[in-house]
Amino acid sequence: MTPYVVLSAILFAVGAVGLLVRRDPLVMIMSIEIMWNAANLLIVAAARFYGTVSGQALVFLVITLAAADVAIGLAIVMHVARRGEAVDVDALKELKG
Amino acid sequence: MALLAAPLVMALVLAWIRLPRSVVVGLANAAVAIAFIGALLLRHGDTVVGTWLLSVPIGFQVDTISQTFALVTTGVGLLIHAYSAAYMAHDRDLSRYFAGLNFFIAAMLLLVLADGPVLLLIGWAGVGFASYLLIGFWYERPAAVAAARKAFLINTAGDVSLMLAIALMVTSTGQTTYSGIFAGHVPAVAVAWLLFFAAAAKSAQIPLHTWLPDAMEGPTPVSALIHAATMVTAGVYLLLRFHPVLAAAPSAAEGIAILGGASCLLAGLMAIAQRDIKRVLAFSTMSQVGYMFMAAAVGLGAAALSHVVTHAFFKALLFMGAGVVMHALGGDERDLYKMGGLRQKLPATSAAMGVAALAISGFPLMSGYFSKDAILESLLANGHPWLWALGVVTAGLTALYIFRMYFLAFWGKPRTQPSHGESWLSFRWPMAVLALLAIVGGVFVRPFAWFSLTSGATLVLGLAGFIIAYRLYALRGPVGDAWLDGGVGSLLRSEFGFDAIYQALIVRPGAAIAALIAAGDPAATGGLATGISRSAAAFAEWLRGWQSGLVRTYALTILVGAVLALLWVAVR
Repeated sequence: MTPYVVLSAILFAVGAVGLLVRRDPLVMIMSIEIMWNAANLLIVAAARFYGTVSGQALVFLVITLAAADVAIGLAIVMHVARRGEAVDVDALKELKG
Repeated sequence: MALLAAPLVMALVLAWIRLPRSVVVGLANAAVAIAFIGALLLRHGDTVVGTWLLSVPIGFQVDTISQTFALVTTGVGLLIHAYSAAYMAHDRDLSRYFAGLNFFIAAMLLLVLADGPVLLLIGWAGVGFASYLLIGFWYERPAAVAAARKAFLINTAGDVSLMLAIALMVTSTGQTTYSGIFAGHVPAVAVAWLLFFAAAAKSAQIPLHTWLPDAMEGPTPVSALIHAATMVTAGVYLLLRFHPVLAAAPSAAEGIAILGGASCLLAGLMAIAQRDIKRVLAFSTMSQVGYMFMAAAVGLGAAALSHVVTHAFFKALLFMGAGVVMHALGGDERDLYKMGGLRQKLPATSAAMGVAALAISGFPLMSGYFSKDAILESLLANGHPWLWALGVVTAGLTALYIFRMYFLAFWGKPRTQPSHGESWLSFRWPMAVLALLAIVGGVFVRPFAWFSLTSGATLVLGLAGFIIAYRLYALRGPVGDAWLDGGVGSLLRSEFGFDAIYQALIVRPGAAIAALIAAGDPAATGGLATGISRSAAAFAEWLRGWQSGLVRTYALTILVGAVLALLWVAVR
């Protein structure tokens, strides 16, 4: 069990750092995917460890949600790119309060 | 209850639908005529129509008292409606005027026909509101508006007193009908005094009388109907209706009778010094209602009720006559010093006023002779010699002030030429009917007596009053008032200073408190309100700083937040 937890934590940290330090939205979406999968890994490992299948069912749900998340994110990125602007999240702050 | 519904419905119709003037007059008169016929046909007994406020029955009770009041209200009301048709013929707000009058009739009928105090209170407030509307009918006149406000405020004080009395009676007995309440046990002394203050406010008795003279700013037929014949006797109705409560508190009843006697005497004195013809009549009304209060408070219901009826006849007639005089002198002349010699130009009015003056001062065989003596004789027979003495002295004063008014207005040399005579037929026939009733109204009087010791005493004093009035005013006119220039006269002219006292004790402190609040309010309430809005705005300003638009900042914030939440869970 422990190696799975450690690997999951490492993956999550990598994703989080990537999300925070990169300014390219494509890379940020990939970082988020890594974080999703860190969570998925932990869930299936725990399901296996406790001998239930409910964890696997939950992971299927998470995978579909992650797909939806990517679809929306990529759509936004494409629109920004089509406007001919630099694809840089720090430049996209029109929604400032 | 068609007699109640007709004027009420008509009031609503006239208030909201614009109709031709002749239709307005016809409908308003028809509604009151229906009500009058309904009052004639009333059968004694109780009718319960329904229930409201969970358990309070809506019911009507007809007995001698309520039928008498209903007949006076609709009968005299019908004559005054007919008179109004001519008197108000040129007013641009005819419809509003008749809507007010019809509403008054409906409210007064509700007041006298209700079978419990809750319904009575609605009528009570309704007549006060109608009175307010009609006193302030000519709303362009500041004096009329001020008078309407004063009347409404004082009447509202009475309404509150009545509400307290009703609350005491209903909570102590658990009943909401007269019969139920009187069968139970009520705190009689407290209720009696509360009822008296309510009655005094409505009937303009000392100490709550100051609104009535000012109420003369309203149209004269209104003064005749509301402020002479009917509404101001509602206080008498209250005392008659709640007689069992008064009987259970003899000391309070005695006190109420003494205050009624004080009103009777003092108002008679104040009436002597008035220059305004309608104010003379207003104080006269107060004085006559004082007689009724004396009798009603000590349980002489029949005599009080008799005087209500006869007073309605001759006082309405006096007001109608005053209205004709004012019309003849060009609309709104009420100063007795500017009248004089009107009997040549207005012979019929002069005759009618003379009849009414004789009736009110108790000339033998006129209606006032019987009803006043019924009250005084009963007072004497029931062991109230001091009240009797007050009433007898006031009988002399009555003759003095009413004939002072009569001689100043109709005798002597003309001081203003009338612009036109008594032209309208409908001015005259209601006055003729009332004059007839003022003469023969004595047949309604109970207990009836042709002659008594009292009638002898009042006759002597009344004759003395008449002779003094004749000697002072019949030929000399306003010069006769010279005796009022001294100390006593100025006391009478200032109406015993009641208004000045109320100004000093209530109005000015009230205005000072209001001014203080007006000055302090922007700082206190205003400061609180703006303080709340400013702090909300500052909080929002701080909050919007968080929405930077930088996605990575959001991510970091979420991360830090998640870490802190986890730490909190772990530490706990």
